Amino acid sequence: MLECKDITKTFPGVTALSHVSIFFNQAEIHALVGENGAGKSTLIKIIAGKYRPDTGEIYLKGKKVQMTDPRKAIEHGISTVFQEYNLLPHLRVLENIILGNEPIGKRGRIDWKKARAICTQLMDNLQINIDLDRYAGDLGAAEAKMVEILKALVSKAEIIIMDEPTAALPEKEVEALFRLIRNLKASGVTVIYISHRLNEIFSIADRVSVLKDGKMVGTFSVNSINQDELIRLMIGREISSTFSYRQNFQENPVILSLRNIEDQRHLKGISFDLHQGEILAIGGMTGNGQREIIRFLFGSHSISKGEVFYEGKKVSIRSPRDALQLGIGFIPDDRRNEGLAVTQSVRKNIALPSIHLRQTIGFIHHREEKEIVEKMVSTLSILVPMVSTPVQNLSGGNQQRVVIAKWLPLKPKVLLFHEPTLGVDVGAKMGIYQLMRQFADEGVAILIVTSDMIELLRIPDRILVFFEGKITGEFFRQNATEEKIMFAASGQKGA
Amino acid sequence: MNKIYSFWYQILHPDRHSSAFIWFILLGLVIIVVAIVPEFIQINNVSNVLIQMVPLGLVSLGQGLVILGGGIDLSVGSQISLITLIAANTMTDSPVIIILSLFLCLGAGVVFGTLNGLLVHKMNIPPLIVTLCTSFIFQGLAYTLHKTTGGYIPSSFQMSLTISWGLFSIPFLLFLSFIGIEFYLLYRTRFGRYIYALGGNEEVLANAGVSVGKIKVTTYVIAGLMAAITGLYLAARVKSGGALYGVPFTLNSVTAVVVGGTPLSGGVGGLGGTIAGVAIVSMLNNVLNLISFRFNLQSSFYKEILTGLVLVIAMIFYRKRS
Repeated sequence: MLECKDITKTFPGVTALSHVSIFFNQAEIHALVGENGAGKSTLIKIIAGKYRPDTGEIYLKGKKVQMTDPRKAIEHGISTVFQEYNLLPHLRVLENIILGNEPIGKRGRIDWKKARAICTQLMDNLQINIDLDRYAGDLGAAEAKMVEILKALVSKAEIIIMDEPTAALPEKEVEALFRLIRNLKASGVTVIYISHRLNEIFSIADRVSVLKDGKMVGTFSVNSINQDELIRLMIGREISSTFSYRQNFQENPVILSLRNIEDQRHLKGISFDLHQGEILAIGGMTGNGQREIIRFLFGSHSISKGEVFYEGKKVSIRSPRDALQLGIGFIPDDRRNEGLAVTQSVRKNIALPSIHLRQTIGFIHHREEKEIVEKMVSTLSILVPMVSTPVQNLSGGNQQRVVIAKWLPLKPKVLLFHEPTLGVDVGAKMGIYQLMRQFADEGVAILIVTSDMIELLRIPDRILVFFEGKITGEFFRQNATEEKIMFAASGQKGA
Repeated sequence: MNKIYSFWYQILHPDRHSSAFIWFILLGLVIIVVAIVPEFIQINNVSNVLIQMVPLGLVSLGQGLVILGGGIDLSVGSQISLITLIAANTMTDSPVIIILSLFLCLGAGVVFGTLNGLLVHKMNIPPLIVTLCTSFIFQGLAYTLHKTTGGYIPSSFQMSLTISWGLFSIPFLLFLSFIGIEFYLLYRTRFGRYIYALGGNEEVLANAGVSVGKIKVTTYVIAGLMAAITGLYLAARVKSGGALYGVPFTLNSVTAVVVGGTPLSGGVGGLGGTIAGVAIVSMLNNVLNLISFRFNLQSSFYKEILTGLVLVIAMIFYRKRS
């Protein structure tokens, strides 16, 4: 169906792809895996016409083609479902699906009746049902992804590239999307599927290709390989699947304690203690109050009832400023919008929260700032050519380290992590986990909110499970199992 | 089912992106005004108000499309001034020359708009800056043609653009027909959809395989064309050209569009709101003239204060809505 031969692509200073060859069959789901920077996104951008390869050829149904720009690729039947939200929230579902392919009736009018018929038929074929008159902005994450897939189909796509389609989806909606992808395959569409969630690949893909450092490691049938082997191929080393943890953390003094925290909607009486040097993780289905509790602790979500004690004293955290003064740092899930000023340099980002410590009547001590930033860069081993490099040029893992580095000069006693490894590749994940443990060993209390089951089971000392704004389960690491957590996350108490 | 694509639905947007609100404000304003100055409702005055709306209305139709597409055109005012002077400097009593001059002016509008559009699109300069720069250029050109006011506009041209019968007049009918054309473009054609998409998220539009540049440049060309038509109408009305004739229209057109519910970021809002916005902004003028005549006040300051207040109130409302 589609074949890429000997593709090489270099950017100034980096070889993103080197002599990569790959072919995709008709009606197959072909997964593409590799660490961040392995060349996956370069490869799909070449297939989608966003980049042009330096050398190499692309054959479509045996004919050589030139993908000069995205429009050309779409004409050839290759569409991309981007990782980022790619809908217009203020337009209706129908208008979004048909965008760029509006059927034209007489006198240049858009034939909405026909448009509606096209979309209805597509949805019928794929056995999905989304109200065409809703605003796209009101859709859930899974529905939005489906609408984006429908968009691709309307432009007569025979090959659909999906870049981490499940990244923003809660677990229970993933299955609905998978059903759609399987139906696509049944109707003869080829799906190129990129995901960091390796277990997904085994449940949906037919074949999987592994890229590493811009080179093709190989293509395998999913039946002939298992997850551990796949990880080994991706990173070229074994990862120990368990991390050390601490059983005696309860001997440490309690630093933060919450009593009956309630807000108007999401939190219904949350109480727990956080000990010094402990890693505590909060899990459960997304949207059960985890987001609110962690933001409350950083002063950006207000509550209506309840008390907070910090080092034994009653406190109120009304703004991030209050939180920082207490010594609480926050690493948000939406790095690019809440955690970093992405166009600014590493130095400016790291220096920002602690800038008041290094100034005299408003003048910044530049040398001191530079020293501190360089120290942070080396302690956290942030890979960056210069501290003046804009943060947006760094990989996800390094960006996350910059967010962490921001708080360190303030000597925080509590670090809050919301989805600490979202959009971070496998190797870099391990680095973040090691950092967390290192902080905990130094006495910092760590609170994680995560939707990643593996992370929840393997990283913390203690696990809390939220369901509808209440804690429905508490487990120490040594006796936590996926089953027990799932049980608590679905609301059954007394697990 | 398909009713959401019908005329009244699109004009009033009775659901989330309602411009019905601004029509109610307009209605409320009319009621208050009639209560204070009953003269307002007399046919003569209504016809006057409608005619006074026309120049602002024409510019705002163009401005509305640009803003809806996520841009802004701060050069429309100086384009208008320049066009009035081009018209006043080229027209003679000969009908052939008048027609040639008309085409020259419309052509100039297209050229100005294309210049703006290409600078925004090809050079990737923010529209605010591009049109600010070109507004200086157009303004400077206008001064070189004529320091203040002057030139010659033939009476025949003036007459043909100022005829009126009762409530209706040529300029108002002209405005109505342009509303009709723009309605068709915006709500019936692909081009209109793409303007919404452009303002909503340019990347999404590009990813749908649409040539974003064409759409973007076209909105500026339409703005230029509407500025040219406004300039011609103003020149005819005042029977001369003037280097400062267009000045108030730049910010007033932005105000009308924004009061009408199209945010400066684009993507939502539309034609119905803009028309109501135009009516409000130009009515305040007329109303305050009547009030000040009645109560013997100095009105021009109040008008600006009131315009500012209406804008702020509208903004507060739109903020709550989203």
